[in-house]
Amino acid sequence: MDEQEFDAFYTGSYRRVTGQVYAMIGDLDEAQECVQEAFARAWQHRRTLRRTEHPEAWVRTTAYRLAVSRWRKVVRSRRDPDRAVSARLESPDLSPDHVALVQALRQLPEAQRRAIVLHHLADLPVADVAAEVGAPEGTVKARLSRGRTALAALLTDTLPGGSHA
Amino acid sequence: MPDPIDEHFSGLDADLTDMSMTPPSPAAIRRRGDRRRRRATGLTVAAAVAAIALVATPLALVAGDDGDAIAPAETPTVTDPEPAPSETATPDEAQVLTEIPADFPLDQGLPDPTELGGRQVSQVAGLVPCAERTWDLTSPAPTDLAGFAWDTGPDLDGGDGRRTLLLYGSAREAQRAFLAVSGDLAACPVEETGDQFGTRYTVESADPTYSGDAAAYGRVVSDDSGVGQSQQVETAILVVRRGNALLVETEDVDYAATSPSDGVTDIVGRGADVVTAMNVFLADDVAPAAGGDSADGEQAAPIPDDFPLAAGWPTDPEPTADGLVGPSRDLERFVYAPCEDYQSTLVDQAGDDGADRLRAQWSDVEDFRTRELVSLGSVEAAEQLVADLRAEAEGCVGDVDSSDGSGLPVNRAVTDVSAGDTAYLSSRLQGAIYLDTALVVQVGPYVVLDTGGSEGGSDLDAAADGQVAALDTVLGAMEDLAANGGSSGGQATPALSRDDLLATSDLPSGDDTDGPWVEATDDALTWACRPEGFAGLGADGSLAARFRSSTTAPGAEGLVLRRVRTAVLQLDGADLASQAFGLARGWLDSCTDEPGTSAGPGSAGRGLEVDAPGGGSTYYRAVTYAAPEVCTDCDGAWFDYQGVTLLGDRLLLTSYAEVGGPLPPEGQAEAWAPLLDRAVGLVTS
Repeated sequence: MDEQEFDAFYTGSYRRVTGQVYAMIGDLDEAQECVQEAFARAWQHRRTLRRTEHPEAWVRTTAYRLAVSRWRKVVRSRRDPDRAVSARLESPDLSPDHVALVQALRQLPEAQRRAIVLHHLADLPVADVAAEVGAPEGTVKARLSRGRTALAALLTDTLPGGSHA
Repeated sequence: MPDPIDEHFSGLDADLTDMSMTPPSPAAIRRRGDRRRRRATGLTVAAAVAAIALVATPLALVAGDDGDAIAPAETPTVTDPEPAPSETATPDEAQVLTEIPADFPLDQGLPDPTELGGRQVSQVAGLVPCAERTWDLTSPAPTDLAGFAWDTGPDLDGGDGRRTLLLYGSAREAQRAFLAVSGDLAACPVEETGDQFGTRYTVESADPTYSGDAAAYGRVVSDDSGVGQSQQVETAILVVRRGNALLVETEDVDYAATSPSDGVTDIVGRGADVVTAMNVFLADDVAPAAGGDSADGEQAAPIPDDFPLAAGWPTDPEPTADGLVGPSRDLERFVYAPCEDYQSTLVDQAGDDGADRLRAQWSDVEDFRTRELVSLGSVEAAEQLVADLRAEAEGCVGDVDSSDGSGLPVNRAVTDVSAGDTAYLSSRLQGAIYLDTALVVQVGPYVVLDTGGSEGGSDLDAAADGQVAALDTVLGAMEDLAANGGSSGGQATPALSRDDLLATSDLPSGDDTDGPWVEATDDALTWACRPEGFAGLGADGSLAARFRSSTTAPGAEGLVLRRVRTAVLQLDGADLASQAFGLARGWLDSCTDEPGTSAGPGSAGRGLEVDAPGGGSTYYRAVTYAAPEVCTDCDGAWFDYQGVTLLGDRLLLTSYAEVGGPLPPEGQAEAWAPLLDRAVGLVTS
């Protein structure tokens, strides 16, 4: 991957991947930092990255792992979770429905949230989700099923027209 | 009818993409990546050809099987090489981790702990490998530990498991814990539960495929009643040591839709990433366990502790510089990066984790040098290592790296050098300016890698000559080692010598049809009860010899009917030797006869322990197993005596196998004891 190819890859993917990672972790600043670092690592490993079939998935996974790693570091060191994943309320430029959806996602267990985002937002088939998260397809299906059920209940409670609206 | 969840997500992608963001320019991201690469491959601004890193994740370990796909970058991939500043710690001490890093990916590869009832654990579980034993991982006390436990629940495939990572004060202590656990597992006896179904518990070992100290086991529940055919893994266990860290993972598999090997395969595969991440703990390491195949009569002597590896270097650093560190085995392995994308250590390259190694480094202002010396199993192995390294370096000679930030292309070159038995010099050049050089020299079974970097030099030939000249004392010492087996007089323990081993004249005489004993260097050095070899015993050095004798009987000429194998392992102290003795003893205890023919006093399921000279102890056992190379439709079988002897800080492994059947070979039992006595006498004399 030369400079031109990388620049095109970065320009074309950055916003999409950042949006997906934001949906997974609920913190836009954190998502941007992790995605930028992931792209830097992609450039660092560009010779080998060009042999992978899905460089965008590589960047997304790396960014997600970075975010989780930073979050765990915060939790383990017992510092104030000022930059922690799922710890900071964000109000980016989203419609009210989508703000509610992102907030509902944040209440799901980490693995369910990741599977939901990859499948419903990134439009990956179950097999690709399984490959990206490193879990059997059956496990991904279970996560999706449980996540969708939980998400539906959360959205019923929070969206306009829901029981707590 | 549309899925309501899909409706919620409708338009979110576009909405998210349109959010206010201020992404850096692509060029800024590239510069950030370049900085990462330089940090990963060079200890100082004057990047050395071989970079020092606390962690180097070999791509082969994270790549897919086909080698085409790469795994996303782990966190961390490379720890910043700068040691944490400390006013009191020495450079060595500063690099030894006594706490598990907060971002260590301990849950890598695990079933999702959040969703499936997982929880973090903060103490060692009361793991019981077999009914009569419990693990004691708290002596010596770990300095830190962390773990996860999980339960995949009844509706999903899987089971209950626990992964625990323990840090000890030193690699020696971790190795002691590893040997204790491995020994306990291997020594789990085949036990009758006494219930009406005659259930037996056995522990089967498996090759965990990881280099270094690693063991994997499946505790198998089997029904010996003859009524049921069911057999399943009850518990799969993985134990791996890296530096001063020990990983212990167990999983109870509740479902029966598996074979015994599946559970072990699963746990081994799942642990691959976290084992790789454990390389951060290699800053403190002991010489890895001796592998069976590497133990060889031709193996080089261990490198003396007083080897003059830093000879020829400056001695007075600037006040702010570290100056000389080492020579020491405790310095992390040297990460060789001839092409930057490719990184490996000499020991990895040699494919021999039993290789002894010594390292020194010199850091001064704009002057960073390092040397690493490795000893290999043979001259051929050393030559092959140099050939592989050179091929790797030559493979990227044509590559032009223009991404170092200066905008000038960097070229690489490989040139012949006259030094030692074989040698070459690889260098990186920017225009007429060389950036750094790496000199590789082989002398006998030893290879030294010497790197230097005085960024900005212009006379590469002069630099190469100077580098060779500075290495003169080292090369002389390597020649002495190769010539006399490394006896420097500086070691507290006498070096192992070929005279410590049996020779053909010591072996049992046979009958009229037995041919002479001959050395069989192409035979594997294993026990029938330990086909994986002797990895895991924690030896710092080893010597071995193998012999065979063929029959001269008409019609069967050339058939090998007798074998003797012997090895002496040197361990770091009597305590470690004692634990290794227990582990080897466990291998014999858990060994099963095949096809079950009785063969002498040890074949009834238990071995015999006898005293050895000097307060030592021998444990041996005889087993029988099929000899298809002799005949497939007859009573022929190998009758194999295998013994381990503890002699202070050394272990002696001896086996004497002979084909007989259906009765044991005449005279074998009587010949075993004198053979063992002779082998012990050679080590203790």
